[in-house]
Amino acid sequence: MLLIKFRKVGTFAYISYLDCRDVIIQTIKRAGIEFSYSQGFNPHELVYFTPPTSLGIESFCEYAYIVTDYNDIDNFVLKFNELSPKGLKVDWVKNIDKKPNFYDLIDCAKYIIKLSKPLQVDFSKIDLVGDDLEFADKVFNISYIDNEIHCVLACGQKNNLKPSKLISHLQTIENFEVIKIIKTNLYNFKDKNNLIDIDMLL
Amino acid sequence: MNLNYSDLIKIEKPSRYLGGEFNSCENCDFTKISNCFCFPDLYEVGMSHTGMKILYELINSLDSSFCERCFAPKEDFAQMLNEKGLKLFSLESHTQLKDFDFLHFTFQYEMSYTNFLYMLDLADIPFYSKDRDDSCPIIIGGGPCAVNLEPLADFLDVIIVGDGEEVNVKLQSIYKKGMSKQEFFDKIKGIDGVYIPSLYEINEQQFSIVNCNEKIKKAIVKNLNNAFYLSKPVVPNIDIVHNRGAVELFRGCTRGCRFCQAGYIYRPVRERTIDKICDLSSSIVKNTGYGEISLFSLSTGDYSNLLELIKKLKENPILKNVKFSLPSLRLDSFKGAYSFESKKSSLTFAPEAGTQRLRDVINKNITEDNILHSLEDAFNANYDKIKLYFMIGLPTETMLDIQGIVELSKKIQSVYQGIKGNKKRPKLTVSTSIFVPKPFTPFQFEKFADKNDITMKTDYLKKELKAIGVNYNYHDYDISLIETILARGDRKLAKVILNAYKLGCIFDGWTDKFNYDKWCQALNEIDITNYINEIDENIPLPWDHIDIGVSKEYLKNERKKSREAQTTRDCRQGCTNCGLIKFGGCGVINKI
Ligand code: SF4
Repeated sequence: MLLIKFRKVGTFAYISYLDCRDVIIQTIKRAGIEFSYSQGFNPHELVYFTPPTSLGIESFCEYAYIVTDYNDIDNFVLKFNELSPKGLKVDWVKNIDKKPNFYDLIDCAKYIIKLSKPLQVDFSKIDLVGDDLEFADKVFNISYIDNEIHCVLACGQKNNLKPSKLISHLQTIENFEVIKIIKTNLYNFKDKNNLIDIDMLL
Repeated sequence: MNLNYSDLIKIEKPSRYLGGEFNSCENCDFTKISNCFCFPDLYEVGMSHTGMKILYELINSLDSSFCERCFAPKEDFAQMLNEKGLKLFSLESHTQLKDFDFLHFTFQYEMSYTNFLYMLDLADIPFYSKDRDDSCPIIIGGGPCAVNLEPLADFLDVIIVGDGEEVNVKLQSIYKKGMSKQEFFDKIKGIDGVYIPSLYEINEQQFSIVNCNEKIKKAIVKNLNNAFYLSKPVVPNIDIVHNRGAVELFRGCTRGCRFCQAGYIYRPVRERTIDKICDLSSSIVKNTGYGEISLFSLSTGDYSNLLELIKKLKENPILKNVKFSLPSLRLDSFKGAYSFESKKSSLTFAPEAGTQRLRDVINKNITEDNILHSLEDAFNANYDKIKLYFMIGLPTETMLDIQGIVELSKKIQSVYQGIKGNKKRPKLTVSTSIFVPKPFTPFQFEKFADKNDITMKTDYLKKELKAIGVNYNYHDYDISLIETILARGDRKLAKVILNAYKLGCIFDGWTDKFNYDKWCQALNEIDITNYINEIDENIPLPWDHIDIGVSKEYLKNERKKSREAQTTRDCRQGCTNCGLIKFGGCGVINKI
């Protein structure tokens, strides 16, 4: 069984979750690597992904668990990256025995939101966490540096905040455009000061 | 590209416009001859089209040229381009269309003509070729509609008639960066398949060409087996209409159905060998990861050794998990083919007419027995969803022929009951389209049916088919009417199409987008009866200057025979002298 970490960057960020799934399966097939299939009337490839990243967000922290007998991990990275479309690349592959429970592990994600222009308002004065009930418990960390908003937002099964929601809220305060959004890490939440990158847990 | 997250996130499926697919061209070096293949419909439709993929891969295989792609965008994207002051750009390098040396438009159906103008408009390129100087790209039109692109002739610089593979390579090798259009046209005129509309004068009365000493011969790829074929098609990142590999078994058709334009314009029949088809199938599977291959042609059951081909494909280890589909199987073709195909949810057959008399008129050489036997086989193979296609508004058609559709449906139901028991009914769907007379067919002179006549017939079918539990779908009359006008159009229509576009007509082939009232407004200036009534066989036709190989005399004679319900044999059983031999030879003959 293989665990892969991959990235969707550039224009590939605009490929939806389901389409991305199909593209990954097709890429692996081009590489001549065989999947294990589900039983039943309509057998499908056994591949499991981390929860969807919203369309348009570039991500450096996507993971998938693939059921296959193939175990040459170095060759996998080489072949996959040679045969994948632009913007879809695998960073590493591990042999693992047990299917990780992505949904249990992942609580929040770090995003960098690049803005079209510097903000005029004093960002530190915007109280996102305290006042707005909608965002309470969902914004773990937020700062503004050089036209970029860096934030850690809830990204779990129960507690979830899409960056687009946060952006819409900020846009009611001041108008700006977003150049791009990058999702950099996924975390497991112990407490506010203790976020563990799920790389360490997989 | 000057589009950011905030822009793209508002667009439906932004990836339609962004490229980056596997096997797409990455080396877009503008010091080489730059080409952009433009498909006047959405990405999902255009990317399902094999002809475009062949030319794309072919041009990208040349050392001194490269080719990108562009599709007609949805209105939301077009609006955004306009708001941001951007021009339509290519998928690969996001370069605006204006900056290419060549734009290749393909016309698969007449109803895409306004989308061509829509794309030029979004690209900020003048519509009329006379208004474009050497700084504008050379705009080439091709595809099946190229046999009569007179309605777009004022907009196009070059029209390529016939098979595009060889002539496109020739044009690329003749063109040099920075060459003036005039110099280029001087060098390419006279090449088979090359039609430069601006070189011809029009007879203002009949709108046919006057100064044509020699007809423009369509380009023919003589040896299809050696011709370029795709092996590394672009694999879309999103789902499209036909997301699978496709291998063309053969080009052309010998059946001679009298309404069918493809059956005449793609003659003669040229086959690929079994080995070639196996090779192409395996390279496509290897290079794409596709699990399905469509083995297509105009009439797949007519491939000369289908049984052997199927055997060879099954034996090939690379193809062992691949599903195959055989579109365009005729009712009477080889029945073992079903068992090879991946099981589909339904089978589709096209008897085209409800009675034997009318099937003889249109030369659809199948009998009722053929139809019922094929369906018996299908029912025995456990198919119970059957779709049947018919045309209405055909020459000489009467109510008896329409009743024949109902009668045939009843007979099919009883065949099913004979096999499955008395109470059961197959899921039968009847679809009717309206006969559109097309250039270069024996029926090119025919009248397009009246609306009342069609309404009466569809009303009858709605009622009668419902009564026996058969589903019924039918085509829109108004779209077929416009299609007829455009298909048999002349240069007078350039203005009409431009008006229609300016009034807001785009995506006319999509029933929900087609706006008949606007088209009527655009057509106000001309007398449409000239385009929909019967055409006198003796007056020159707007497409007479094009030579597709089948002679006009042959077509006229076929029409005459249709009036006597006399059939013409499939020419694999003996040449019927359509004219191809004089034109440059016909491989079908060598086989007999
Ligand atoms: S030349 Fe004869 S055999 Fe060839 S396509 Fe024409 S009719 Fe058929």
